[in-house]
Amino acid sequence: MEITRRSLLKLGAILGIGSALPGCAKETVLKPKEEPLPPRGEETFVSTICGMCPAGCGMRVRKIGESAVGLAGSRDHPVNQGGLCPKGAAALQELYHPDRIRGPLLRQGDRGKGAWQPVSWDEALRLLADKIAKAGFQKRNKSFGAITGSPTQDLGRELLRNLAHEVAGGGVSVLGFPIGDPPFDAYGNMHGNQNVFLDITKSRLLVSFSFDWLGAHPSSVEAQRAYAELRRGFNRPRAHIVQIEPRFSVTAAKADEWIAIRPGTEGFLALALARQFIQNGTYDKDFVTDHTHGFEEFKKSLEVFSLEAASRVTGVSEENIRLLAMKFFSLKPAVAIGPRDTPFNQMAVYALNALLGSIGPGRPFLTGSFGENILGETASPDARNDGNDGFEVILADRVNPLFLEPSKWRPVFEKAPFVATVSSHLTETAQFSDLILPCHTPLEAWHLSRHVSMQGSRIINAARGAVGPLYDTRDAGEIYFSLKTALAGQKMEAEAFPAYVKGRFRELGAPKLLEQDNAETWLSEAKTIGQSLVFSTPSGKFEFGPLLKSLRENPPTQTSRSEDFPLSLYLFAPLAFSRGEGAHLPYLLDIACPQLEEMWATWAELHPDTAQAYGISDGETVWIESHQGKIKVKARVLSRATPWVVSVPVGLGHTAYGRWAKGLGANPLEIASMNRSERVRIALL
Amino acid sequence: MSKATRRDFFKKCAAGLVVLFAVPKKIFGAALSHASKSQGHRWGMVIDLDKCTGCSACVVACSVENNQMLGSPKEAADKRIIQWLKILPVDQDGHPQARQRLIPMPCQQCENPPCVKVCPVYATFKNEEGIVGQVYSRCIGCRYCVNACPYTCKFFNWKTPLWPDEMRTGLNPDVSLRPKGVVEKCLFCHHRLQRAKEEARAERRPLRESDYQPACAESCPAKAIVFGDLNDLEGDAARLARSPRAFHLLEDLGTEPKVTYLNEGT
Amino acid sequence: MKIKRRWAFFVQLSGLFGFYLFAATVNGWFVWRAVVLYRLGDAWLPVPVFGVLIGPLFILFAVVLTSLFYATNFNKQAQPFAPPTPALTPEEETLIRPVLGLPGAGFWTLAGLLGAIVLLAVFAYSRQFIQGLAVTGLNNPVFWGFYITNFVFFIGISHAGTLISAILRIVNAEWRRSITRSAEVITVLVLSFGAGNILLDLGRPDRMLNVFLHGRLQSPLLWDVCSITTYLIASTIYLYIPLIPDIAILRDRVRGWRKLLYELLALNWSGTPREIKVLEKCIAIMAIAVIPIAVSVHTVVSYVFSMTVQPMWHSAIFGPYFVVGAIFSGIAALIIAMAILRRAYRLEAYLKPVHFQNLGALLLVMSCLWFYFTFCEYLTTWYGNIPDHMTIFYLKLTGKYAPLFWTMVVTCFVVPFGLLASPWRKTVWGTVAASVGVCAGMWLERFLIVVPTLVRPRLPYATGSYWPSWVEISLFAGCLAAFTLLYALFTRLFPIVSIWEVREGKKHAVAEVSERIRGYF
Repeated sequence: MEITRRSLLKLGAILGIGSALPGCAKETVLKPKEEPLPPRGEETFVSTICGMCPAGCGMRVRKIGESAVGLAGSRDHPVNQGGLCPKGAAALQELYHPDRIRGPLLRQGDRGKGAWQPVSWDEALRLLADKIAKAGFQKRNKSFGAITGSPTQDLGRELLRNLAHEVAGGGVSVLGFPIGDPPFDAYGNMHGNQNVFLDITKSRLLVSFSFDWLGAHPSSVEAQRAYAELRRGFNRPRAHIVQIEPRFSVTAAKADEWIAIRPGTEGFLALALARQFIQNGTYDKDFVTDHTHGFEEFKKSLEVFSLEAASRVTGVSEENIRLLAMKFFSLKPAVAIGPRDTPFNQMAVYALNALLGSIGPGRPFLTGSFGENILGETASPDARNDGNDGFEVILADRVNPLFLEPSKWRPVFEKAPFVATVSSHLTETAQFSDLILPCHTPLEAWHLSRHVSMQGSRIINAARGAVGPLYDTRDAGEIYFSLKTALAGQKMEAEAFPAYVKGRFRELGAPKLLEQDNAETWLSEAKTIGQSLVFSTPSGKFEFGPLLKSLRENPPTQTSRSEDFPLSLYLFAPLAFSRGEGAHLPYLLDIACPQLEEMWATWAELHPDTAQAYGISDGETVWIESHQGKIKVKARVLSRATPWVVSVPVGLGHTAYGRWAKGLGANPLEIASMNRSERVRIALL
Repeated sequence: MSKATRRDFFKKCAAGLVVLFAVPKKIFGAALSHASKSQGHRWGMVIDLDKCTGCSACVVACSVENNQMLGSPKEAADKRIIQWLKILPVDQDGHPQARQRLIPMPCQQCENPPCVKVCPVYATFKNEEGIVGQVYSRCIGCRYCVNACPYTCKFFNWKTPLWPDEMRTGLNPDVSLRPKGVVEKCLFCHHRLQRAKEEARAERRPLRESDYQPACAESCPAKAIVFGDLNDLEGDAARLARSPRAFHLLEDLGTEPKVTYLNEGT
Repeated sequence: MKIKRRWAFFVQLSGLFGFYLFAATVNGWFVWRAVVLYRLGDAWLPVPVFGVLIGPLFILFAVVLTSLFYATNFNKQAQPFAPPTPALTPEEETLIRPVLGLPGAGFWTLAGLLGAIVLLAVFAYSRQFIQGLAVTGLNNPVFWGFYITNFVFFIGISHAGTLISAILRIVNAEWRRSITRSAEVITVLVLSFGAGNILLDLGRPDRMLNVFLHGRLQSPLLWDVCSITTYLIASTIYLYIPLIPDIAILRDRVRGWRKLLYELLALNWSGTPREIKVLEKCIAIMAIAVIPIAVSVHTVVSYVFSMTVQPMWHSAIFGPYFVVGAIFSGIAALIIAMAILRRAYRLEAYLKPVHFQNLGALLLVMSCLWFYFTFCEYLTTWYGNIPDHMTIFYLKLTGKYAPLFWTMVVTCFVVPFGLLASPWRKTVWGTVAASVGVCAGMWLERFLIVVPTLVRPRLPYATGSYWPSWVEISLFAGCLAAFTLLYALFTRLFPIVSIWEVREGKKHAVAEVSERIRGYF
């Protein structure tokens, strides 16, 4: 048979068509037939500031019409440089949370019963202004309880401070979050002021004394960035990270060495190390001579802190302490950090930095003034209010003391005749209040705040809210502004607050930030801090005195072993619930513990020996009881837990705060405080 | 039919078959399991475990970007919460010699995906740019692909995800809400790729690597996630994937995942 | 001379044409999928491979049915006159008493009970259909549980019928005559429930047609679809063809609505030698065709697991292992069914101890064979000591699933071996006891194949857990109840022992067999 031209052409045509078909056929089968949501308007991008925590990261919000549908970090913002932390990433859930308070609420019935009557803003503000005016703070010995959560230098708190000053000549109490706050008491006592900033990335050796800085640092994004820099920073030696902590936290997991220690004994270990430095002569003699006061006495007081004693008290072996001291010697700059623990622990740890010469220009610890500190010094959590009979009116600004420090604040709140809360959600504190003034969520609010980045540069964040208010809420600053106006007997104009804000923007040198949506939302201030050593102590130097005083007054003996309460409770804050907030957002509940894949539950970490002693197996429900009360949690038995220590996360156990947080988990702050270790016992359910 | 014509017919068939098999395999389409390595993009990701701190910002950013289901305590206890990108803890217990790695694990977007092999209805497939896709409207929910994945990177909608009305305004309009009974997984934020391509086409320029970044890479505060075109040999992703610290999960199974990890340490 | 055709002829003819259409569709579907996959640039070779095997099978079935239809309805004048059907002996009357007589109280109670369970199952499924698979106990990582276990289990039992009756026919084992039909019915019914369990398991059963519209024959699930459909059709035909002469008997005996049914199904059978010859030839062809289909069915079911890379699923032995297990559980199910029928319908004359003994012997052989395969599987795993595999291994042998595993070994090997290798095999009760154990044990075996591998995935490292919910348990119970109910209904419509075959055996077998044996020597 011949292969004719025609048959060849036919064959070719078939093959040709056949091979051309893949393209269009693939389209129909392999193209995902997604059903996108219906289009709702034009897309815009707005730059704003996150505001979910005090760090002040820049954020870019994607909007369709008036709704925010996506977010990302602002690439050039000096604090976050495009990154976000989990809370920032969940800001949309905060904005669109279904259980937000939608308008001012006045209590009906008994406190805490949850019966509310909606009122208008005028009524609410007038009522509060009346209460404040009638209290007559200037005359009587009563206090105005303005409480806020964190020492952020922002517009809202500035206005709250102005109000408190106007009303009662007083200041604002800052609750803080001891697990994550810097050692303000050490700074205050040893520097004379709290303006100390730590640039972790300047260190070559970073030793943390129970500060889970990757999880609890007040500026989370910067902490993660700092870690990356420490490990893989360009043109710098790789840092060595040591984590001394009762629990194998995330920081311990990422560290080069984890040293398990008994809770509460960090100060003892620090002073034992100090004794090693001084004995070996491996301390910065120049700094000590030129810039410290009270060193000789300090040296004498270290006699007790022998290696043997330290090992006995802390549970860390002598060998490890000696090796750690050697590390401090060989890796410089070296930094010792800790959270806002007991004042003794704070000061003992911080004192190491003085010995290591890590304080000063070009060193990790930067001092300097930050301009006026709006809120004044952050009082110690232990401080009682100044001898007054209590608060006449409490105004809680976006803070939840009844959850974070219930044993301290519940009696105070119960005694106070009138309690008002400014909050966007119905927290425990709001639930207990007489009047709730709902504020904007961060995506709706004005942002004008001052920050110092970890590298020591001063920044002013300035942005308008990304979206308009969803409900009948107001900017927190506007509430205080209106109250002040009302108290002064003036009438509140509608545009008064925006005009005030714009005025402040102009004063701080940020007028053009208001003009465009896409403008940068930050300014650098010309001065960076840390250019000089600043001490505000009477001696004008770094003071060892308060540490010595603390040593004399409360000599740290071995923590008493109680028969009734044989275990130590160690509290920690997962990053998802940093500052004790976040339990109301489902996506944050999903990431409660990446180390254990725990979600939507409060758990307690136990060592197998401890668990066996009580007959507890992994996953069982147990009671943890202190002398203050008991809570029910899920036990997790891990061989990397520390024997006779129970570690419980803070953040869950709300009785209000929205549908997801309410009734979920247990609150260990009901039975213990954050800034000291508690003894507990444990039992199967 | 006469003998001669029948013979002719068979000869023609034989000739056709010879031509058919002599022509290069490519015309008849290599199996979808091998991407065209030389042309077009091949999207991949490099995660530096020496920078990653396990903070889970990427996890939350992914959930927000992709309209992920809201959980509940019961679903958490039943282990039915979906996280397309999860942090995998890898433990070596001991006290205090404990070691733990925290490894962010998205869909590994394998070159030889075991899930694609077993899908009965073309609901999961690998496209020409290497992304393993998922078609919610065709999936019958048999969960064969989920069981075939050695990384357990696929998830199933046990029920219709519920969204309170207030939260519906905040949903990302580019990503469809999954109905009940279908399988879903990380798609390397494929909707962002489509958008980037459209923009590039509108502006008459080629697609730049920086135009297309998934939500996780964008949000990482430590910049541990680097995403890019593995075919662009000088780009960041391809360069890092060649690092001596690079490794893949379950490397010996031969799935050739396009998510590369960089070991900790120098 | 024009023959007056009865109405049944036309209905049967249209049914036949319907089957032609179906066979053509099947072949056409393969051609269409081949073209589509080729156009997609995907691997298209599996399609013609399957098509070439399965397509002609359907053509074969069509030919078989056509020849039978032709033999019974055309050229009847050319055939010698058929002798009238001999009357049934009193013994044989027992065989059609269930069909002719009204069901007693026992039957109604049973039907009521089973019906209630079926209704519960329907309700349970409605919950699942509306709410999604959240009502089951399945979770991440255990995505398959009861439904897939039941799927494999039921498909396994389906090997009872066809395989036993086909193999026994081919080797001319005369004792098969009274048990072939009960075996074939098991197959046809349980196969539907097996395939039904897959549908119960789907997250989107409303999209089940996607399997045909977008089928990818690279996927083992599609192989399942092809194989099981073919097996179902083949078994139905293989059940139906030997049923025809018995239907003819009934057609001549009953009145009322059932006469219409039997007339329709009897294909105008009159028992002429030519018809008998064609019938026997068709049965022989079907018997030979059904065996490879049956083997392929459980092999492709095993491929669903072994074609993945998961530890203790990806095993070369799964194909033969599952087939052996299927035959094993099939024989056990058949023994149980026979024992119940024997008791309920007083069939002691037909289902004699020798039947149970012979089946018991087969069960013993299968038990040893099953044990051999299981031993190979676990020894190989243990010796290889690959960590991922050993996790699952220890999970089954000493861990969470150890009680189930060792129960399985006891009920599938220790007890059956003990019972059947001893004088107990001679009794009906002995074999039934062994069979009950085997059925339960084989269900456990399926469960232990599906769930432990999923409970402990390679990544993440956390171990999962699985407890079935009330929905899954109800649906399992419902499937068993529905199967039993349908089986009981069948026994009320058709004789469960093949009358004509037993009769033929009585008449011709002795002579044939003596002839055969004489030939050996």
